[in-house]
Amino acid sequence: MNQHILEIHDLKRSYGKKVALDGVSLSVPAGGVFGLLGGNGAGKTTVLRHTLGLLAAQSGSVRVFGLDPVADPVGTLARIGYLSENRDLPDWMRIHQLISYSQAFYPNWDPDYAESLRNLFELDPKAFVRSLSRGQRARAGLLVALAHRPDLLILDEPSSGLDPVVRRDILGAIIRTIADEGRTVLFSSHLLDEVERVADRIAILHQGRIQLCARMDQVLSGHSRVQLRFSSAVSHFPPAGIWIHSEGSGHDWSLVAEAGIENIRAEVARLQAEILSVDPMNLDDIFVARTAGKPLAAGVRA
Amino acid sequence: MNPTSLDPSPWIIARVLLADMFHRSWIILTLGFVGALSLPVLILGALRAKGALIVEDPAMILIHFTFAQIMGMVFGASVLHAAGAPSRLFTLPLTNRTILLIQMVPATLLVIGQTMVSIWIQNVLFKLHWPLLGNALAFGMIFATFQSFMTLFQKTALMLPTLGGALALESLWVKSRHGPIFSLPTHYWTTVSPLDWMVFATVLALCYAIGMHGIARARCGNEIQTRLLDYLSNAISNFFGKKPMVFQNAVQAQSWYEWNLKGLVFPIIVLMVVPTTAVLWLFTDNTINDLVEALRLEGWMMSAAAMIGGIIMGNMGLSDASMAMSPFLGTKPLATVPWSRLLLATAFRSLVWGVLIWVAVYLLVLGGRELAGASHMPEPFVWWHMPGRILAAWTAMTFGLCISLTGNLLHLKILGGLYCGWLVTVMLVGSLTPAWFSELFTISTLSGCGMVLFSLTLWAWGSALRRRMVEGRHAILAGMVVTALVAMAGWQWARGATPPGATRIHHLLLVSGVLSLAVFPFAAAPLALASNRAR
Repeated sequence: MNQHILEIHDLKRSYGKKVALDGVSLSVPAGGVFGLLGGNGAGKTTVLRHTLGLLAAQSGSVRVFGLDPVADPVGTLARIGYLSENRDLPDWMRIHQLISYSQAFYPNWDPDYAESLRNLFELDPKAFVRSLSRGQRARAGLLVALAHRPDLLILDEPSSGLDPVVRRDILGAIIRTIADEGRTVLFSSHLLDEVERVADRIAILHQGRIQLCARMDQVLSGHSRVQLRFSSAVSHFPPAGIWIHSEGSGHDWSLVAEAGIENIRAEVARLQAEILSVDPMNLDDIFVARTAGKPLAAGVRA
Repeated sequence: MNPTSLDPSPWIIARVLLADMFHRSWIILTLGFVGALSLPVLILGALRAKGALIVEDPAMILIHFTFAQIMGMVFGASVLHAAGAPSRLFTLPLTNRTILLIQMVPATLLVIGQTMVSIWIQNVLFKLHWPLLGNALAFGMIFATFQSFMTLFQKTALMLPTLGGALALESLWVKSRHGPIFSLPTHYWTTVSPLDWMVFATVLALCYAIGMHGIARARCGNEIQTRLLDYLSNAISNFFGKKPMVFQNAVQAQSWYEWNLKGLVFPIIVLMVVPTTAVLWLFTDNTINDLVEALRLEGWMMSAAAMIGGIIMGNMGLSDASMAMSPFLGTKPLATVPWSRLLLATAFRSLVWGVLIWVAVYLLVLGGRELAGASHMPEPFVWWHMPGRILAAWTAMTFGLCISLTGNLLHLKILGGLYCGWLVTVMLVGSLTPAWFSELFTISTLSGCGMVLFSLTLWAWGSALRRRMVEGRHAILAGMVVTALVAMAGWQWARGATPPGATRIHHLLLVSGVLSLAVFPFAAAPLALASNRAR
């Protein structure tokens, strides 16, 4: 049995001359929460749209539950719940109409669960969608995405534009869904504290390429901030080898290493430098180091 | 450095915004201009080709009056679109007055200018002597009224009755410039009198006041008070909206969605056009036979409304400007083929309602005619006219639907551009070459268009067959339907004298292409939907 709910292989996508995805390969295992990180325009939504079959692969392949989502939209979409970034729900419907309408598409729709979510999200069944606030729209969208208990829940920037209370609601619902039924959530976000709090695995997407894909605990434990002092002044220290990011000048440098402490010590010894401190990093710092760093190149010593 | 020198003056902002408007909307404005001119030029061209264009004929006054209205409406719609909503300017450092003037002055001047230029072009092309100024000023005034009421009442329930009342008064005044109000126009509006100028200036001043009030209210977020209307609207909405809905399957749910959102567009257009015709008839001519004639003509003109309805029905996007399928719809687990079929079924249902409304009004008028004791029908009954109207409306509606269903606005622009290009070429050829050549050119290009449509239908069926969206037996049936329709058209020709033998082959090609569109959507709709769904 295939243990990966989503498999993307060497996916490329261009919009005119702009390359949105440049050979993305990604596997999302069944169960747990998978966070897709990236800055604006990194390609997160493009990956999700391929997953949903809204974009056809120009090159490479996408398989969801082992199926091609473009060739078999019914087979894949019936098992997916989706909350879009812009919450594009039909304004002219009332909440109870939206629920009845959505129910018809999903054989596994759970009316009791839908009703409990509606109560939890405090949505008036007679209210028109157009009268909802942005937060309420997100709740309505989430209700529709969750009520058929999908095997894969895809959330595109679920916290975008939401206040902290709604964010908690959404995340709470996600966590409950995962905890209750062991299903999979794939969500994109650039709110790193939120990702760090809920994701089991993450992938960092930068300029259309996957920079990192690993379990959250491995990501956090595998990166360290190292303060170094060189015996002689160094004018330039481009990241290379275990060093993925560098800041500083002269004798004192702050480096980000992707390695265990033994490897760091060995590398520092080779550089003939002294370790001042080695500190753990949070996801925010790791993300910045991964995406804002200079291109990898051979080290140049002064 | 003086910091105030960095502040742009309202005039600079106005200039930038106007440049932006023309930059954004030059295609729409051009299409509006050519589109507004197209019907008059085509009809006048046809009259000239038949030798029926007699400048001194009193009927030309009515033609001039009607054409001016059509041009004003078509181009006015494109100017309204180009001007956009004033709310986009609310956060800019501009006074209410500047915002209003930016919105209204250039748009009104454009309408006045377009009317004058269009009438001038018709004068040059067809050697007419139609006056330029009167109708141009009148339509500028009507446009300003439209804009100011839109600004004040926005999309509230008050807009339609108030705007309708104001426009009716203005129309009566314009009509009075061409002769008595409730009769055919008797003369051209050749002289714009001081009284006319005064009416024009007074209406513009009123529009300014109404517009200022509207912007001042809307800019600070105050809603217009329509409590009684809101209460009634909510009561009706609650009555229908409370009914619990249970859908048996996804197709049923999606059919409900499509019908509720877009299915009523075409019947509503027909509902709006019919009373407009009645009012125009009342203003111009009170003979019942002319109303019968107008409605008969309207039956054929339903195709244009049907195409608009089809384009709206095929739009699966979030707005008119963004027609690509929205994620909400794109992520519905519904197979493409049944989805496209339910769209066509909705289109057909919409068409039936529209036709039924028209037929009901037509029968009502015919009944009235009988009661009035009218002696003879203006035109004898022809059996195929009714199915012909329905078929024409079906092909126009579903062709528009399929183009729109691709989700690519560019396709619609190309279609509009080709039409405008063809029209301009026909106009040029018509004015620069002898009549026989002009006619041959027109029918040749039309027959070429027929061949393109036929090829397009063949391609769509071939592609759909390859992708297993249709079956072989469906293709055979479609082929039989087209063959039967072409044979019927040929049979009609064989019985009648038209079209003339020399251009019969051209007509056959044109009609074959158009008739092939009757089956085109069954293959093209699933293809278009699939390409829109996974881009």
